[in-house]
Amino acid sequence: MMRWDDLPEVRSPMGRTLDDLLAEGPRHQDLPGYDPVYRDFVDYIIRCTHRIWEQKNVGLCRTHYSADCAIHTLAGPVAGVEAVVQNTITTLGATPDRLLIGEDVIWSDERDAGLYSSHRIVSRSTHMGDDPLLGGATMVSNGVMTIADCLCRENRIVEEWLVRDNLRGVLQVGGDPWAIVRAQATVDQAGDAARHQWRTDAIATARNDADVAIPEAHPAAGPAAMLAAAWRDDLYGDAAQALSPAAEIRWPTNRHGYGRGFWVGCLTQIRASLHDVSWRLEHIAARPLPDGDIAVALRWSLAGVHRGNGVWGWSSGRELLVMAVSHYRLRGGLIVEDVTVFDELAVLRQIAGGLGA
Amino acid sequence: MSALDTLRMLAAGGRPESGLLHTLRLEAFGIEVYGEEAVLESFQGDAFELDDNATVVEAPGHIAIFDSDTALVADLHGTNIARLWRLGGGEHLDAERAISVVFDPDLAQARGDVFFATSDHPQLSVDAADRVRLAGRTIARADHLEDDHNTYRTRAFVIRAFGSAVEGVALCAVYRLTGDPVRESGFAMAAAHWTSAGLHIVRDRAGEAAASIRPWTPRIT
Repeated sequence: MMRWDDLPEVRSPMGRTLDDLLAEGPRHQDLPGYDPVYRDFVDYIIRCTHRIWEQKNVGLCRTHYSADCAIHTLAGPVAGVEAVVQNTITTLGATPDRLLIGEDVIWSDERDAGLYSSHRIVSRSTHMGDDPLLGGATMVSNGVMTIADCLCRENRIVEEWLVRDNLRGVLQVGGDPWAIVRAQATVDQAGDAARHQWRTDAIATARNDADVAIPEAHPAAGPAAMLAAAWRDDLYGDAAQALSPAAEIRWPTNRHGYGRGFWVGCLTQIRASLHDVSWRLEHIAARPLPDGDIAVALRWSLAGVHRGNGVWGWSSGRELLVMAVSHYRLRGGLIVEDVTVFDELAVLRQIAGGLGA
Repeated sequence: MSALDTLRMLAAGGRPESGLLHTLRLEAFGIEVYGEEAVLESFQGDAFELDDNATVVEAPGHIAIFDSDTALVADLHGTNIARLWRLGGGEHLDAERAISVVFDPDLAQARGDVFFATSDHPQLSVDAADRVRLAGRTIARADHLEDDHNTYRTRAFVIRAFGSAVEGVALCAVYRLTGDPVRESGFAMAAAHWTSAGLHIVRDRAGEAAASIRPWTPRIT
């Protein structure tokens, strides 16, 4: 079984120039079934994203996603490669100059299941065209953080968990988030309610299933214990000891600050709105970074009942699901950076009565 | 091209021949911009005038340039600039909308001025830790002495520090809660440069102005 720090020659993109990242060269990782152009798994993720999005070869999705791939988002699942192709073209139709700047790829070898990447992306674009989410073209430059977790086999993404800071994107172009989610909820409430069964199932999984196992001496153990202590036991002060006293914190919708107290504030702001909370750790990965730092990726879900008035408005009584990915930079045993992403717009959509029962 | 040459050209609004990292991030005038084009646009719109007598301090992974009332502090990967903070005066820009986070910076009844872990800063020599604490404390306490800043609570979070006890640099994210009956809250940057001759501090006045007018919105509206 591969350790988290094996294959150091498969380097993080952090600090590397675009020329270096896109240079072609010999393969230096065993990648059976992958196209010869890919030097290693990080290169596969960075390069195929570049080819599909920036070079506009969207049809490459057909050789880079399995026909029946499942994409999990908090706004609902997407099934099949043709839906991926269509959604990509729709997005490019509104923001054609979109750059998908890969900040990091934190990956793991899942043995027979394949290779798993947690790809942190900052998108930059101009809102030139009408968009189903962002609304009519505003010509405003915008950009949000996205993390795409992908399970890959033989050159294809077979399953993906996609979290994007959509609420920040809406606010950047001057949109009215509550008007958007109310309209979405109205559509959600019509038609066959069975299409929203995924959300009920995901809440049940978050409430009932066990955490993913963490191997001994894996760097994810500390950050995972931090989130568990906070979400499960409400021991926020103890949990925050895993952070540097001056840690930089980035959470959705442009929450950006420093220190353990700010991190606690991000969690308690949400916890104050959610009662009867269950938290579940779904996936872990870690990779070495330059200069001895360590990158850790945690995918996690949170279920709770919206009974508190606060950041998400007046209590709705609805049971809510949050699907999140956190990326941490560890140095000297402490977290010095936390980038956490979830789709807060899809949380509001649930509060507005959308996405099923 | 050295990191200093790159920084000088960029500060003047020019595109360095060696290019810039596509992940380059700049904080200036109270906002954050991302990517080569946006960073160039920022400096082209308002070039950073570098005095010939400006002080340059370098360490592996870091570079800082100090003038009397302005400073540039950068993270480096090799000679490439990875992240950049511009501090000083100038017109602040309208900050992007954000959810305000309701928080207590201290987590203790014993209130502190400075939040700092030496383990965060591998290019800081052990004997310089007290210089960093002094710089942070000076930044935090100076607020209360200055007439133009009605401050109730100030905390300095040391996010970058490098150098030795003889000469070094610290960059702090400074949290302020104003002393007005209705308080204002936010972060802005301050940088400190110490030598055996003393301590020089540059505050990000533009960032402070931007933070002070940012609406307080701890809810999604």
